[in-house]
Amino acid sequence: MKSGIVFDIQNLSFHDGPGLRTTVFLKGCPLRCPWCSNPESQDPRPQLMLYPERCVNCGECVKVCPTGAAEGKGICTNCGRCVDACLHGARKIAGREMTSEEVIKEVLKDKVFYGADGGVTVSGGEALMQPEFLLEILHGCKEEGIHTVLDSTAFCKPEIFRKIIPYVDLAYVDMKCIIPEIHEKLMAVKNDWILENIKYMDQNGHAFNIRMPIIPGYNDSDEIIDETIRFLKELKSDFKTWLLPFHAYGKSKYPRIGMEWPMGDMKNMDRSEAEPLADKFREANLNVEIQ
Amino acid sequence: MSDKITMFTVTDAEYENLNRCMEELPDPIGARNWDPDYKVIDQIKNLEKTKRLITLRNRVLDSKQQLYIKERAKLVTESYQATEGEDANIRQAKALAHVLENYPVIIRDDEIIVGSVTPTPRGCLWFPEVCDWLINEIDTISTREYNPTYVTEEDKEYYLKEVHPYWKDRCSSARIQKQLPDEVREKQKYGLWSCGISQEQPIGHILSLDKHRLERGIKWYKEQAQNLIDTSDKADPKYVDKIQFWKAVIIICDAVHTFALRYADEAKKMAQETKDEKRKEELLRVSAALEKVPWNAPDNFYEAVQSAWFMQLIYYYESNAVAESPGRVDQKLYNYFKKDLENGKLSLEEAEDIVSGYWLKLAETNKVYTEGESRYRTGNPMFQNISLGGTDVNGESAVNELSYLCLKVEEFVHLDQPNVAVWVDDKVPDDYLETAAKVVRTGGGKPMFLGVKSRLDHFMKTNGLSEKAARTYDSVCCSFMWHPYLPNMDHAADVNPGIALEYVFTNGKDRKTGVQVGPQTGDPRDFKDINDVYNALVKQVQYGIQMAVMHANTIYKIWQDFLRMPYTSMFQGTALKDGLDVTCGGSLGHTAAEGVSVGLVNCIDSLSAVEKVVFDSKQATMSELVDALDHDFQGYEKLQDALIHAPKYGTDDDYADKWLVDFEHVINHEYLKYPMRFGRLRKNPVYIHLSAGVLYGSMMGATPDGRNAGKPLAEGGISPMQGLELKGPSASMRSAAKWDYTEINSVVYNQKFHPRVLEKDDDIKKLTRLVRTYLCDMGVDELGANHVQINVVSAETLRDAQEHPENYRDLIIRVAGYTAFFTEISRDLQDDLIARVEFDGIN
Repeated sequence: MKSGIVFDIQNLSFHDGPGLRTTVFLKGCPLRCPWCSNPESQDPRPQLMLYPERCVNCGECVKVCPTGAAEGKGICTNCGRCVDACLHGARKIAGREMTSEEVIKEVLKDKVFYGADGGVTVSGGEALMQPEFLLEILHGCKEEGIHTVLDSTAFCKPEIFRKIIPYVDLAYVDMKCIIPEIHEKLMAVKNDWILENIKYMDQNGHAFNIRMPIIPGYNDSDEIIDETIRFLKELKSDFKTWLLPFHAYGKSKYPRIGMEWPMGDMKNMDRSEAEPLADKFREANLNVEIQ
Repeated sequence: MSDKITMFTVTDAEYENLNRCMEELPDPIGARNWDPDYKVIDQIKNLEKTKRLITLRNRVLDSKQQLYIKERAKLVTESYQATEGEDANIRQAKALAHVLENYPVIIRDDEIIVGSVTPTPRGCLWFPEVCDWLINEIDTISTREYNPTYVTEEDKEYYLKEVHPYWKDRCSSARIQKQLPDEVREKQKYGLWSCGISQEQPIGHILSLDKHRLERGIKWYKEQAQNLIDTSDKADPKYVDKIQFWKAVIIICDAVHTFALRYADEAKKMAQETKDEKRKEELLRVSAALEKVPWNAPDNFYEAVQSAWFMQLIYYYESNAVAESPGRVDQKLYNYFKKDLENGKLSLEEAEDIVSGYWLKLAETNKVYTEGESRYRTGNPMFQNISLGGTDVNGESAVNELSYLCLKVEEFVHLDQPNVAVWVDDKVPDDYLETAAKVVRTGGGKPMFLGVKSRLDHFMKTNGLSEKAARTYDSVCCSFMWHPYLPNMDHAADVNPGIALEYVFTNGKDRKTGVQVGPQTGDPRDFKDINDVYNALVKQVQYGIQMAVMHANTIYKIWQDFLRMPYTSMFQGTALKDGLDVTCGGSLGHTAAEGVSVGLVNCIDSLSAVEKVVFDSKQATMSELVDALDHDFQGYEKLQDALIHAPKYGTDDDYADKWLVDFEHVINHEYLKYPMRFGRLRKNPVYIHLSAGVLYGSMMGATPDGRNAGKPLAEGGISPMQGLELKGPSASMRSAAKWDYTEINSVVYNQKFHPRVLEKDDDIKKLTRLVRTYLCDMGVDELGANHVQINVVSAETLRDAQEHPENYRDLIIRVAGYTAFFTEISRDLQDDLIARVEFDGIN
């Protein structure tokens, strides 16, 4: 039995797939999208998060810290002692180790709500970064008759992807940028595996939908949109494309893990601002919706 | 009382009364598996607000809350002064008749459903025969912080000169105080129990409409009473008692008739005076209707609704009781609606005007509460329940076109009254629940959702109803299923487990005064295990129940002596036939639905926290815990943190939830030891309170769940403590589904949703699925839970969350693929979310 690092399990999720779902967020992601709304999901290891606005400078964390990291002297090993010592909720650990069995036990608690269309969504981070753990979770869900959604960037070696995808009833694939050079520049990885995996699903009858975050000035140029549409038009499956207008809800998480929000003052994008882009997809007869 | 009595004991007298009630009211709801016309339903879904609806609604919204003292009090006082020495029923009947014969007739512009309680909407009447608390608040009531209620100088003077001097020792509440057992009188103020609002108001909580009374008309009740006087056995030694009740009924029926005719005359007069031809026509129609109803049966939908409202109106003059609930109006009025629609005599726009007229009449009614009660009950709730949809006697869907129209009207009117609910059962179609969920999306927690199956199970097992009788269900008050075969419910003997919890750690003493209120259950520092704590809690609760019951029983005695309710009684079960007011045991007397009130969930959380922190992980001793509570955790922050993080109710953790059912059974079974006055058993407990958690919390010290002194107790009846649904809504629902719903009559369970969750129609389907699963598939024998109210959080709530993040630790912002709590995002983004909520018009 495999174990992995889970950073959240959200039950009765309305927006991570059809029906009522439990969303399991796995930690760790090879992409470095600057607009990432879950930055604490990037590092594959458990990670200390700080809430300085709650800190009262009582010093309890410093007393228990074995390395001096709590007072900025040593290196944090994410041991979690300061989290237990803090009475004010100013410290949390993002991510905990769970076995696939524990995850399945947790999602089974809500089976009564799933009905025919609902089920489990495995999200991230990039869930494919923990492929064996992911496979056990998906396999376990299928054995229990639970519908599975994989919410992912599809960034993964194609031979591994092909082992996992049979246990996925519906994949949501984030296509952040079709142009390889821009993708590599923004996300820090190439997009060739992503596109190959999408084509594989398309050619082998695996159900999927495409999600594209719309980040003004980053991936909404005519060139990117036109190229994306051209790529999607070549797919033969019946799929939906969702445009996800940029939101900044992840902003406040960055300083909590010692990072800087790369998007500056960029404001939440209104749905209506994505309409002209959606029209382009519509003109190409793609089934598009703004989320 | 014998040990053999259980929650499932049904006495012979109860069975006999049930059977006789069914003969009196063979088809009170009239629910059927209708064959609704979906084309009409589509048209209803697309209705727009009528001009009249907007005008009348604004009038209610713009009105100022005013207490009208002289209008009614003068008439009642005159009557009571003139009827000294007469029978109590006759005195009440004559007082009501004197009001109906002389009270001003009020027809407002644009109204087509007429009959107004006070000159301005949202006005309150004064009931001098019931209570006299106003003497302590007459100078402050107009300006008080909670629900200020305007009183004119003239009314104030009249009250001080004429009302108070006559009634101060004669009114019902004065009599109650004089006759309470000493122990109850001395300890009543400490909050271990409360008698609900029963001390300041008579019996209420009734089904105020049934199909029979509409069809029979008031005339029928007079004829019955006269016939019973004429034909009953004069050798019966109680005959002379009974004729007093029957005469009272005749007096009231005649007075109701007179009142309707006075309205008919006034409408005719106004018709002659108006120059507006359209209004003239409307007024003539009003006049013609009230010449016919409620005395006779109505012939069309308009007359039926006018009759239903007019019969309802009389209750507001008879007493200041609350929760006179019309219930399942979409069934009771459907035949009239359908017939008119099919004959082309009624357009949907007219029907909307008629139904919204009725809705707004209910919204106009009001009641003045004491300063204390006003804090307790935010707003001035009337608890007038209307419930829609549901099933028929065979368990098939009873949803019809009128069910949809009522929802549409609720969407448009959407005020605090009436209190609208939708029944949820396997057979109720998704489309109807989705239509209701869309109304929920507009905020205010309305309509709420009521489970059918677990409640039928409760009524069949505890009250002895056959399946067929149980399926003739109706609704009353905040969230109760109720039956026409069980006359009035009442919760006058409420226990507050939160106060009992405090006494466990003070050995029965009130924290502020040091007065020994509860029993001495031992020095808590000596408790050796969690069972010692639990046993002490049980003893405190049991004592509270005993006090509450003695308090309630005194109230019932006074009602029987003095405050009869002949108008309320004449529609109830076998009361008319037996010539007995319900307060005197008519239809076996009213039914208890005792309230298990504030602090219940804090008890569960505290038991869990003490067990975890003191006895399992031994992070503190009982002595340290008691010290910490005594010092409101000052200097004991580590211990408080440990207590806060112990397992809690609302996270589906059996470490905490294991206490639920046992504690529930202990409480329910304690009430069984105290039979009602006329032989009913107290077996319809309701786990409910409204905003009382704030008031009682403010009176209490710190509690072992980590709650600081003065902070609110858990809200709603069985809703988890604020901020503690940390494992998401389904974990909270799984906890809430663990109560033994077979024994409980009703609960209140609130579920918060951020408006972003419900933006799209697909989200509405998901919400419906959630509600249906919770109310149909979870809980005991998978019969579903009992109640859920979906509160779409308002901008105001979100602002409160900014200021008090500790109370909203569980409020999740839900965006696809994203995970975070509202309180953890930065202020500017919180502001942005609030602005979006406001922009979407969610109020």
